[in-house]
Amino acid sequence: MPASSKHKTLAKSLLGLSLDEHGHIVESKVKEILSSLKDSKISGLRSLLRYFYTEVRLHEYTYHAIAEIGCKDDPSITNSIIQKLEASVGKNIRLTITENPKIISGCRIRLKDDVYEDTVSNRLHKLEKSFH
Amino acid sequence: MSSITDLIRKEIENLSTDATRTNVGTITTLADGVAKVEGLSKVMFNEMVEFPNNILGIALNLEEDSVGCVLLGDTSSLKEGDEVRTTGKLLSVPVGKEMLGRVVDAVGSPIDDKGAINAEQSSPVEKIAPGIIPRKSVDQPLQTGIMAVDSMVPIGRGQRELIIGDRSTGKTTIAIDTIINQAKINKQGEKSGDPDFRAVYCIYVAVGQKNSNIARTIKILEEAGALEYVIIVSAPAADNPANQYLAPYSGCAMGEWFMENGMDALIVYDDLSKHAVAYRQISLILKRPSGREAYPGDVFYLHSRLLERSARLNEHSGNGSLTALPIIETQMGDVSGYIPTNVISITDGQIFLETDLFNKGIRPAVSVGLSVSRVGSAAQIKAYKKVAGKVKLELAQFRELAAFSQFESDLDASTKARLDRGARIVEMFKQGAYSPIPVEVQTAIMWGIQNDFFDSISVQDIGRAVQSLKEYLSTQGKEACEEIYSTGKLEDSTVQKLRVALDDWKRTFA
Repeated sequence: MPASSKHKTLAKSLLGLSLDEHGHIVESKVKEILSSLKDSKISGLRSLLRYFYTEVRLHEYTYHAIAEIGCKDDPSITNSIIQKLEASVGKNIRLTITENPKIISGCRIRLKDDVYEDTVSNRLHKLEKSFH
Repeated sequence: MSSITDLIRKEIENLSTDATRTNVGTITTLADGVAKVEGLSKVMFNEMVEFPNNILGIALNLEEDSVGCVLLGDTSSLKEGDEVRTTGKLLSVPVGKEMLGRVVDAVGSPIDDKGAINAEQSSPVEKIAPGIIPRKSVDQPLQTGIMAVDSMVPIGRGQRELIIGDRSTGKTTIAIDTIINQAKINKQGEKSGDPDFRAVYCIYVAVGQKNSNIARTIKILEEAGALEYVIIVSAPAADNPANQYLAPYSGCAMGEWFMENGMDALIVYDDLSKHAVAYRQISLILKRPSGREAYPGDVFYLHSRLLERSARLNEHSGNGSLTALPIIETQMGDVSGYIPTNVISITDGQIFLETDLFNKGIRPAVSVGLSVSRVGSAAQIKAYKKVAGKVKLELAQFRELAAFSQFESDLDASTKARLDRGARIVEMFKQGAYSPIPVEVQTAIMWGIQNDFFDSISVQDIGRAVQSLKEYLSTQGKEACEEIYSTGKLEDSTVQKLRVALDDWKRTFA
């Protein structure tokens, strides 16, 4: 088995050790894994860490939604978005909301590789495209 | 003014206001027209993806944690971290008769400053070739107007005939001559008002060529009045490799439209060696495993899936055809190279051009021994078949005897006669660039040489004699040629007229 494949498999196992019962990454567990890796003097540590970083980052996308809204943040909006996302995805979701005046009005949510969008700027973009 | 507001109102009414769900990714690396994208988990192979600033790309490499995309167009505005979206569509190019007379890039956008193209239809760039059932045998000729080709390696509508040779041996000239001849035939046919006449529309795909060469080709076609029947797809050497890779498929999609709509089309790929090099560049940047000469393993499939799309369809499928003339450049005349052997095995024959013949002044420098058409005389009109049947054999025998006779001082009468005939045929086949000869005139000239009309003329004067006969046949001897053109046969009465005409010409030729 090539070293890169070995490191990929190992990184996946390490990710499994970093999760809590909801499948969320626990910061303290990650820190613990990193310190033990540092002490272990394993060969190809840099490559393993790179794979571990990618795994952690990609896994975080699966439950960490980023929402952009055109207006000021409101707890009722946050709760409503979380409820709807959890209902559609079927697991606990962590949400970060940012204000983006460029979208004019509406909401744009990115969860994993999917973007759910209902914004005025998107509608205007579609209209612009239809004229070409 | 009201019409503009109406248009805007209509567009707004038709606009979907539903929330959209898009699959996205992020650019992680960007180099040489290829982007590695993280995300895009639902992207499909060969799907069109959208980068910022309306830049398009195609997903070519679907890996475990990333997607390799080739970028089309100017990529200077893109950077790492930019968002990429899937479109759910395959890359399409505009198709139809509106494209004729235009110069477009690899994605079908005009680059000739003649304004927008109002094509109503578009077609996917990658398509599966027609299967066996809708196909039909090639039996209709596609006249190139080049005597050496039409007589010895006849090309039929729907055939794939490779033009192969070293650099500067006249490969592009043969293709351009063929296009010019189609335009001439189209004009003649349209003028005649014959309802059965089938025009041949042409597509010229320039891959990896210098911009100056492409501009020269356009000028030649324009001057010959052929541009109105031609679509030029340009992906010059200065273009990124993705466009060079895509251009032949785009051109093929345009040609296929004619075929699928019951028309005849001719496509020239100039050239597929550079196309393979562009694909090699993309594959190496995408980190695909490389094989022989660093080409990826699927370089055969690259050309086979392209050339298989050229076909002759049967009556049930519209009776259309797409003839392909791919061009391959060899190094030092070596036809056993990787890409040349691949394309030779895919096509239905090849026209091999020899540097030595070219340098000797024998132009077009068609090598008799190495050139072949696997369709053969099925793609010749009856009259031409009758007069050109033996010419390839005679010329091959001449080349063989000429090599041996160098060491012989005393030759027997039959060898001498064969050498004389061969030398005359070689001279007869010499033809200037961009001056195709109509098939009926070719038939008359060939008939003349087969019936010993040129035997009393010295070999050096054959070229002058052929020119004089061509002029004579376009004026006084017109009647016999017109009969060949209309019937396609060499009846006894036509032969009689030809004999009278050539006797008359012979008296005037000094």
